[in-house]
Amino acid sequence: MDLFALERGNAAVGNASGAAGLEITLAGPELVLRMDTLLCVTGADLDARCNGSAVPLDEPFPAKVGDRVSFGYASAGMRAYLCVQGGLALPLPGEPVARLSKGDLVARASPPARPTTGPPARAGPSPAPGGSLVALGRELALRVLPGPQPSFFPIRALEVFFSGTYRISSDSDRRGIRLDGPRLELDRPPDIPPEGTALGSIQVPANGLPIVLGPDRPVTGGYAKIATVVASDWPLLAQALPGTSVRFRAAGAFLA
Amino acid sequence: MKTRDVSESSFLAEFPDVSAEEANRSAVALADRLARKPVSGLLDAIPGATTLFLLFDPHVVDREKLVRRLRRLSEEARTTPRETRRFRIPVAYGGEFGPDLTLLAGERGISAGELARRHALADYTVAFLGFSPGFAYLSGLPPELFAARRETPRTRVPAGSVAIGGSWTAIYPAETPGGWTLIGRSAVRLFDPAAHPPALLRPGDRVFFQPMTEGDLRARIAESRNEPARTLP
Repeated sequence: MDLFALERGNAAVGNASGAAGLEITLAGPELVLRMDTLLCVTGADLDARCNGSAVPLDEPFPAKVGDRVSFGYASAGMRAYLCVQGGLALPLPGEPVARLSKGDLVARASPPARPTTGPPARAGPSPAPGGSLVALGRELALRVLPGPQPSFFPIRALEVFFSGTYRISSDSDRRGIRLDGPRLELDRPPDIPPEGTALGSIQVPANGLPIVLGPDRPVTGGYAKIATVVASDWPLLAQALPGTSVRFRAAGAFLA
Repeated sequence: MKTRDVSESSFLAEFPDVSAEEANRSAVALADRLARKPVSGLLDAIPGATTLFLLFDPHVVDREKLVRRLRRLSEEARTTPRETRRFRIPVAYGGEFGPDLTLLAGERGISAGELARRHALADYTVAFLGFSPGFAYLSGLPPELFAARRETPRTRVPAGSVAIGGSWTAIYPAETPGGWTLIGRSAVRLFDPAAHPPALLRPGDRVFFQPMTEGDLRARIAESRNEPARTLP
C-alpha cells in the first residue's frame, strides 16, 4: 500500500527497488530469525523491537539467528514494512496471498534481490520519513485529478464531493478504501463498459458512496469514476486508520 | 485512437466512431502488439470492453511521445491480425450446477433445455479479463439471454460456474462472491499460478461450449482438478 515506505526500507538494507518486504497492518507478529541478516522497519510506528529493545524506524540494523523481532499496536500510521537484505520470496503472480499465521516460515528471495548500484531508485517525490503518517484525529486533504468519467457526475454531485467530509470505513482493505459521508446523487446508473483501473481511482457505485481503489483492486471495473488520487498523496491514504476524516480538492490541472 | 487521462501515469485509449466490437478488437490488437514488442516506459496495457488502459512511467517516457507512438502502432496492429485460438469447454447445464437456469428460462418463456441449447450454440470471443484472476468476459451472447445482475450478490459462487451477467457470459475461475445468473458448471481450470501465462484464456480467443451431463461433470471433477480445456485445431 505505502510503496514509499517499502522503498525507503529496501534502500536502507541495500535492496533493489521493488524487492518484496513484509507489510504489517495495525498490529504485528513476533518473528524469529533463522539467519543473520540486515533488517529495516519503515512506515507506521508499531513499536518494533528486537529482543525487547526498541528499533528506530527507517534505520537498518543487523540481526542474528535466533533474534526475536516483535511488533505491537499502531500508534501512528496503519502499515509498517519490514525489509530484509536480499528481499523476501514472492508468491507466484495471482496466487492468493494469505495472511501469515503462527508457525509460518517466510523465505528470503532466491536469488536474493541484487544490491542497488548506481543512482537510487526513482520513487517519485518522496515524503520525508514518517511524512505520510497522519496523527489520529487529523483530517486528510487529498489532491485528486478529475475524471475519467466526468459526464456521469452532475455539478451538484461534484460540489458535494469537493465540499463534503468523508470518513474511512472500517470495511476497507487492499482492494478498496470505502468512504462514509455525503452520498453523490447521480442522474443515471453509474455503469460503464468495464475498463482497466488505476491505483487511487475513485469509483462511485449506485449507492453514491465513493470507493478509492487500492493495489488489489479488480484489473477492470464497470463503475464510473469521479477522480483519481494523485500518486504522491496515495501514501497518506494507505497510512490512514479507519475513522480518519478525508476531504478532496482538485489538483492543478495537469491536462493542458 | 483518442486518449482520456486517468492519472499522472495512466490513460485510456479509446476508439471512437466504431462499434463496441470493433473498438474491442482494436484494443486487443494493440495490446497484443505491445505484448510482443514492448515499448520503453510502458508498464502495462489492459484491454477493457471498448478501451485499452495504459500504464506508463512518466520518468522514462513523455506522455505525448508515447501517445504518438501508440497511434502509429494501433494503425499497424489492425492490419496484422494474430492467429485465433479456439477452445471447446464442456458444460453441465441446469440442475444443482446451474441453479438459476430454470428461473431465467421461465422469464424468457422458453424451456430450460432450450435456453441451454441457445447458450451452447453461440460462438463467443474473449473481450477482456477482469473481476478475478483468469475471469474472461465473453462477448457473443444471444440478446434474448441477456440477464441483469442479482440485486444482492451471492457470497459464494463455486469455481467453474458458467454464468450470465448483462450482455456477457463467463466462467468463474475460483470460488468468489458473485452477482451473475448461474446456468451451469464446467471443470476447466482457467487460472494456474504455475503456468505461463497463468490465465488460460486471453483477449481475442474464441470459445465454444459443449453440453455434457451432470454425471460427466462429476466424473471430470473426480478424475482431475486440472481438466484442461480442449483446444480446437
